[in-house]
Amino acid sequence: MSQTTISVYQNNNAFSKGYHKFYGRVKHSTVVDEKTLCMHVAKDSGIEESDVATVYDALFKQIEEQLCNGHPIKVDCFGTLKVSFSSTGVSAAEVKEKFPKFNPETEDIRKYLSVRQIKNARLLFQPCADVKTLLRSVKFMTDKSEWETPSPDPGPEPGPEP
Amino acid sequence: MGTMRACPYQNNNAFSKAYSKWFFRPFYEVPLNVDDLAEHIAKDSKLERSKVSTITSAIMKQMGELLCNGHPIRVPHLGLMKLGATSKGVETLKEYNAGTEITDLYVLLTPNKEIKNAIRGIKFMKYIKQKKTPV
Repeated sequence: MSQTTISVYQNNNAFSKGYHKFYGRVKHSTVVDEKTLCMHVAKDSGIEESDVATVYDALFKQIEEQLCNGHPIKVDCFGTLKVSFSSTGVSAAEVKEKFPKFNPETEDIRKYLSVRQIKNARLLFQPCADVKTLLRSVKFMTDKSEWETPSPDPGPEPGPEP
Repeated sequence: MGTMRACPYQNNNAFSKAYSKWFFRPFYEVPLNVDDLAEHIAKDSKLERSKVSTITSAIMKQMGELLCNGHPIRVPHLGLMKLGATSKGVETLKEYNAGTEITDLYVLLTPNKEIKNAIRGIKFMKYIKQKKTPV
């Protein structure tokens, strides 16, 4: 069973409705880097660590390349990664103003639209149902240590009397 | 540098401020799964395809477990993956119990500079879907 530590904090934003209330946030453990993860995988699967490291790096390099070519990547038991973007909107009147030759009754407006309207391209990650189920089963441990007042300082030990 | 297709569409939501305006949305190519990528990886790394598939599955399983135990993961070429939580607020510290106050747990992916630059460098191509003509 997975367990995540939740640390408690107090909302200090005077403009917030929840001002002075206590909330919880995930207390993150040490960041797992490539080497540590490969070591864990190698230990569990009995495969050589060097092979795991080769595949690990190549896998995410491939994912990066394919994402930038418009392919969503579906990772079984994990989720889907894809690139998305926003765009500004233009009306037919605006197109007509820019291209006086444009005739909205006979021509397809889409021919006059430009990809320059695209902005804010970003990476999206959608966890799959398996991960959501796994997240629902996570147990929490509340950490209030930040708020526990330390015992009063006993002060310096009395030295020998002169 | 990657290339991505973008499809123009008209906003048909009468309640929207941008009603009848034209926008672009991504036109996604065929979705790929890790098995499709395994073939490329096997070719490049000279490892057997079955071995590559075993390793990729083991990597994903391990990542899920580590995330659920509160470990952020630095994913090469992509960024940092970690858990986030939504919590209800309580008046006093004594009242706070994560088991009841945490309402949602989710996975966050913070992209690193490499992927941000790669995404910024994507060239977009307009793709106009042909309207289906009735037979």
